[in-house]
Amino acid sequence: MKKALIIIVAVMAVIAIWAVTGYNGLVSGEEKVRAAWSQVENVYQRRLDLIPNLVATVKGYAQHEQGTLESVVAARSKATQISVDPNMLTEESIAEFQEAQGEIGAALGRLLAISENYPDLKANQNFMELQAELAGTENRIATERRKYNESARAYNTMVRRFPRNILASMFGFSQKGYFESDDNAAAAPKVEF
Amino acid sequence: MRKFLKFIAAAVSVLMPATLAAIPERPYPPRLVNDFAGIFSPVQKNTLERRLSAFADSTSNQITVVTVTDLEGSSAAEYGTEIGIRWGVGSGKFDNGIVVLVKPKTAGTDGEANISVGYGLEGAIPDSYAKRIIENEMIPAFRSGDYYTGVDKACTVLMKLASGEISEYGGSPGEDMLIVLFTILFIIILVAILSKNKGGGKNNGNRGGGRKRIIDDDFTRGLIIGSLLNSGSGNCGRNSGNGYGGGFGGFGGGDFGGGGASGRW
Repeated sequence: MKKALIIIVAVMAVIAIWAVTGYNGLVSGEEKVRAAWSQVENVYQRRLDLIPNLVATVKGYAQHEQGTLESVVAARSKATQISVDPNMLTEESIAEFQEAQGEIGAALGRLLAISENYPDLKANQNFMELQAELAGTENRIATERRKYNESARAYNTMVRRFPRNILASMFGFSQKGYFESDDNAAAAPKVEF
Repeated sequence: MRKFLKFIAAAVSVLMPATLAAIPERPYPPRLVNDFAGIFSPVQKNTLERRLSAFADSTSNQITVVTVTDLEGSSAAEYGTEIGIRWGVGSGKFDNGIVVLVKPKTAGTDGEANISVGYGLEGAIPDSYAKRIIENEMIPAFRSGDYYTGVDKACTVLMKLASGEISEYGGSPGEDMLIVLFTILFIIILVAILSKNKGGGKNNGNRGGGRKRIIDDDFTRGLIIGSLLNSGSGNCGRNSGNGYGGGFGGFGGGDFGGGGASGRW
């Protein structure tokens, strides 16, 4: 009788320890995903911050490109309205965020393409520096997105794997969305037969 | 069977973490100059390695130079950043690593150069500075085929910029020599005092005093042996660090966020 009680208590203690460590693991995993997300937002914000200066610089040399300049400004103001709640990193909210930011990328691409036609602009020191900052920011975006996806993948695996998935559903830990690779998926691995 | 293989391939490509092209393995023993493309002479490699590892020792900023013949389909910026992250260039505390990447020009392809800057040095080396270093220091020399001069000049500027931001003294050989000298001086003085005391003890008839002195002697002997052991072990540690071409102890786990610049010629 006493033995049985001891065994029951021991089993319950083991389960409690498992639940506590499992729960804490989920919490820190989610925290990592959130930290990675805030880095993603930082680098996108960095790109947004470069735009006013860039537009002003280009305007001085290429007055005839109003349409392109306006599309950059419009895409920027649209993107600033879309923010993602770090507690709701779902597939949909990330896709929406990515789409709005993707428009900025496309508009900036067009702006840099037309700047090729203006030698004076290309030789402008300020413009050259902005271009370097912009190129660096694009690489930062790619890097932070990759890091976010890696941490989300690690976390999602934790949430889905048995038996921790029981804990995850009990305490409402849901899976996080990923960044889809953009149109230029040339870097994605291709397997051919 | 084919269908099955295709399924496996699809499954693998989905499951595979979104890592980039196969970058080279982290060098072992650790080196700062990794000339996979073979564009430096052995003398140039050694000179640069010594320079970079002395800089890493004195400021804790790690600059690594990597040359490759192929970027495996990714951009130079992605490739450089990936090396920085996976090798852990820079210290984990400061994230103060820099990767200088060169893909030499060949008959069919453009040459490409990239400077990737760790999180901690983004303030000291903004992208536009990195761009200017590539355009002004590296590419003009690279155009004439002188890769060493271009990389060397770039490193000079990078060192100047980086040491302005983070300059954590890592203990230099100069400081080491001073410690050794002091230890030797200390031993000489101790031995001198000891032998004088011994001489005095012999002349002194008082037993109690003599005994006391013996204890003192043991104490001083212990001190001497202790300090000898101490300096000995210090030298050992230093030597093992110095074993490979100039004392680079290994990458410290620094992280990169994609800052820096690249250029092509």
